[in-house]
Amino acid sequence: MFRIAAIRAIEALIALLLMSIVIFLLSRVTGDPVALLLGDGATEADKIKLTQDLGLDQPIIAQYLTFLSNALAGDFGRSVTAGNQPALHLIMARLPASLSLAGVALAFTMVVGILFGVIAAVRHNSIIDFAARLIALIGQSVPSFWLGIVLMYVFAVQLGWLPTSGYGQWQHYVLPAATLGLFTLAAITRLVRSSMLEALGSEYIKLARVKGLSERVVIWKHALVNSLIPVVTFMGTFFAVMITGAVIVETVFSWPGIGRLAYESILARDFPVVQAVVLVITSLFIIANLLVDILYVVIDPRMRSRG
Amino acid sequence: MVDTSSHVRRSGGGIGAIYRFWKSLDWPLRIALALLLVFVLVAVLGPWITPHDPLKGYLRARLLPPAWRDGGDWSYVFGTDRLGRDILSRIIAGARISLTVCVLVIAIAGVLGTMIGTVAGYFGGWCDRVLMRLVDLALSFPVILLALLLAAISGPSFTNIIIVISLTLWSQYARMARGETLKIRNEDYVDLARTSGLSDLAIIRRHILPNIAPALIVIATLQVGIVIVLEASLSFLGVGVPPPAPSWGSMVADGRSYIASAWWLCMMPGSAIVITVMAVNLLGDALADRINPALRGRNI
Amino acid sequence: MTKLMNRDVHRTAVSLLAGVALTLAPNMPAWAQADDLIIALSTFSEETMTPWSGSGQRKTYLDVVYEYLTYAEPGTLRTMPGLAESWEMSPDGKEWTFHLRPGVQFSGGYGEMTSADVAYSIERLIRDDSRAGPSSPMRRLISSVETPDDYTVVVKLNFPDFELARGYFGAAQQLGIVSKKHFDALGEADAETTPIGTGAYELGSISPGSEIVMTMRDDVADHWRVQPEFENIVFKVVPEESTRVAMLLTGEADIAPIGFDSIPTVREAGLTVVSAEATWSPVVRFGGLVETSENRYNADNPWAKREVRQALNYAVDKQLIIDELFHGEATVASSDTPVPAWSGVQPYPYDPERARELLKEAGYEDGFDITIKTFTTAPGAELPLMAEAVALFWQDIGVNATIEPVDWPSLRSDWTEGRANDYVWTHRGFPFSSAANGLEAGFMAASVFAAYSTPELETMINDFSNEQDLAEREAKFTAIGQHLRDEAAAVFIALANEPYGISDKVGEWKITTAYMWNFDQVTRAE
Repeated sequence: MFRIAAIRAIEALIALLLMSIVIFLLSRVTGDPVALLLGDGATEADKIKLTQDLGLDQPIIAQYLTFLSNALAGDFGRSVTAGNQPALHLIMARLPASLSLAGVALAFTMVVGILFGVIAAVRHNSIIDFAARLIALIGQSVPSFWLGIVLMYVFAVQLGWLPTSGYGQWQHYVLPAATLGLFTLAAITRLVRSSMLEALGSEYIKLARVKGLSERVVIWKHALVNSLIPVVTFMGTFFAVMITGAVIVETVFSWPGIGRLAYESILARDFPVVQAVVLVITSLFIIANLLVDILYVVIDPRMRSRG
Repeated sequence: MVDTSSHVRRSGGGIGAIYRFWKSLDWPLRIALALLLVFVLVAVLGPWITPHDPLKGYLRARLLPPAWRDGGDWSYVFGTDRLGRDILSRIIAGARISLTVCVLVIAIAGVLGTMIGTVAGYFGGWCDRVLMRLVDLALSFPVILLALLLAAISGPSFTNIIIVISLTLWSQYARMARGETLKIRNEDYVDLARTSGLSDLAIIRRHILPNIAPALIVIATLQVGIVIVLEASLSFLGVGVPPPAPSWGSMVADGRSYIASAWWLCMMPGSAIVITVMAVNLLGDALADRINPALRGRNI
Repeated sequence: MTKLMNRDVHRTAVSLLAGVALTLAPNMPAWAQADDLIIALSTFSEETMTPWSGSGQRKTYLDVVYEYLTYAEPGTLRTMPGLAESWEMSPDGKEWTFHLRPGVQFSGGYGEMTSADVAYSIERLIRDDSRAGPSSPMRRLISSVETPDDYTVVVKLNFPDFELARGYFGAAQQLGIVSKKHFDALGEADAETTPIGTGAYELGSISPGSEIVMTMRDDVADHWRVQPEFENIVFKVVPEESTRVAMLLTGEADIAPIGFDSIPTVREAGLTVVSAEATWSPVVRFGGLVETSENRYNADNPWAKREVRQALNYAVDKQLIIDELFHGEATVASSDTPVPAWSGVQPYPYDPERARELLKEAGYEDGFDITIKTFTTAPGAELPLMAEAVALFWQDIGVNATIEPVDWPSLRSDWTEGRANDYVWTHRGFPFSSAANGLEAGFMAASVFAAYSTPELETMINDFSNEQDLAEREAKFTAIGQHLRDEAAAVFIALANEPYGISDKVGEWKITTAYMWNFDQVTRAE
């Protein structure tokens, strides 16, 4: 198991390095940061001086190596648009907001999704099954930005039950988390339902029933544990969906997270921040996937022998 | 294509087969299929059936409500947008854009993903390992950020949208193609072909691809909805199909500031997205059930 | 203060405990801070706290902390004394003497404001690493700053500036006065995070990317300029316009910039709309028209011909755009910058026939293709909409326009690097308080933001800059406006207002003009 973890970690590092090159190159060709720093009425001479100050007159490889060695020391450079603040500092200030929103959304979707999926499978073709399938269908068909706007209009403006936007109290979490989570909720419901159906029809469940185990134990222990394996494999993907969704949801609900920061800094060509934010997000993904891989080995005994 | 067994029988001819197929569907599926047919028909006939020019606006007739509301006008059934363009015409024209994006993306992502997946599965070894790591990375990386970066470099354009969404979706084909290839690569008939001196490429073409095609078709169907939603999301972020082209996504994006005053601006195209995607997803699930039940619920 | 602290504690708890925090809900049932003035802005810009560490957009929240040497009177825009009680200029316009107001206290116990603070503020604002918008031309302009006594500041210039007091040193620009002692005591890095000014408020708390709370000073009763009525001003950043409107409707925001199309919605909900008048001037700018610059001129564009530019002006029904898109909150523009002196210049009327004739004269009777690049700014959320409207009108005279949405930073770098030569773009104009500054930035080839320039125009501007007689200056300035109009330096659309939705918690709020928000003078409704 440690061997697997070690191999995965090395692969992760290589992936991260590749990503840093891609992001570095992409951000260099997207536009000249010098132009962004010049105020109104600046002249050609101001421009040349600034270019030298920023080291942008160096060859691109030298620029990359400087970037890499600094980045390894945690220095991603200073923001171009956020008044010279260190890029990493900006990200760390925004990270808790994003993680807490994704955490709430993921926890909510896991609990509700698994519950829904199991009940739908056990009561196959019942009203609840129908409702679960409907939710799953809607969840995967409604674009999150549209949903966010509609939810805000209905629950905040029309009914006044919840705040429209902002960050701070628990009420602020409800609408963004629901918007962010609906897609994943649908996905988890579908996954659990279909693998539960498969498990309930399988030999070992029949065997368990024959052995006289109570229905509750059969469903919630034996069948469910097996049905969770596909959910675990998709955890990395869910996390990706959450961050992707975060870009949109954080914009709609004015949530001060890194999704919005990434979006805004890309549009503003603030490449020190772009580089840092993309690398931080990628690292998070890689760590999440690493954990999923390990978890996978732990819960699925068949995997242990492979590797 | 849909159900291979029914093609083999072909007792009642084409129409009979279609009739039997129709009879075999339950009501939600029939509605979904009908909606999808409408979508394709509208997309294909678009330029000939729009009541107005979807690009031409009349500033004096802007923000007209739908016909059945006070102040509505029956020549603008779904009302007009912020430049006084007919929303119905734009939704019709938008269907064409959505369909084009879907077809192109699924073709590109499908070919690319299938190639990579089949090669990885067929040859195995380090080739498999490297390619699959790439797939893992693509599956879990927030490609929307890459999409934004790409759009930031070269500006939003139709081509960019196609490239970006294809880059997001190829990995699903790759994973599926690899899995399916692994299953059959050691079958007797593949071994036989190999010993009879057929080249690897020929084996892949003649024996592997036809056998994994059904699974890939299911993925393709299940992806139609994802493509439509992704295109809309990118348009919402301002990096989608550039205006004045009436993509459904950018119509919703344009209308979002009007939710409190002129709700039809974003509700009409939004409903078009939701209805179409729901229809496609329903059909995709049904198709998955028939071809390969294991795929059900796995389109994420 | 304790309330703020509580909120911070909760915020941290929520972040750390993620989902579990749901059970630790605060006891406050309402999420709206009922006693505070809540302002929802579209951007915090750099979100930094010193005058020199970012753009003028930050003045929305910084101006309740920092104060300026001069202010402008709402309505008349007459220059009024600020931290400087009076000032005089040498006849050649190259030396300015400011007499400071005695007894003005910095917050945080940093004592009385003196000439040393003013000198430090000026020098720091124009230092090489300043990120302030006007730092570069100010650096060229200012030669030295002297402080003969505690209440006198003498500024010597490299070349004449007849409008220094109302221009670069006025409240519309970025010379907020900071405490030198504060920076000496804490060092730059630490001092930057705790803004200390002479204004009525000080920084209460900041939640990055979300909210900035400014709290009234304890000694505010003695303040020389304002007597604020709100204990806290809470600035929130809300990029989506639809969300800002929703916040106004639910009472979660008291003041928020809104789009023109939201005006009816906000009014219907029983709220008021206050407009800052003529703060921006949407135009369509032509690329490649800086004749005196090697890399920013392209004679091959159809619009390199004056007739074509005029035709493109005649083709657009500006009044219709104003009536329909701007809800009447604008006037037809004849120029590029909202200055009163150009109000006599007649705008191009809507005359598509004349436009077609002019195109024919220029040899383009079959029209041509043109690309309009467009983006949103604040103010300027309507620019893409305006671009589409302009394209519709141009279509009528056979000019086939393709709209390309871009973002401001990329257009900005195209523009400043001479790559914006074969398309046109929407722009919100140059909202400068000093006309001379605006001319210098927009129409002199030396500026990287020049959009149109000819040798003739440069001569006219230089003549104007060196003119010392006030009446002559005025005349020369008007002539420049007429010249820009006649040459059709851009497609001038409108002088537009900037509408804000106001909740019923607010009694009176007077916004002076662009970049002068006066949030510290908002009164409470009865």
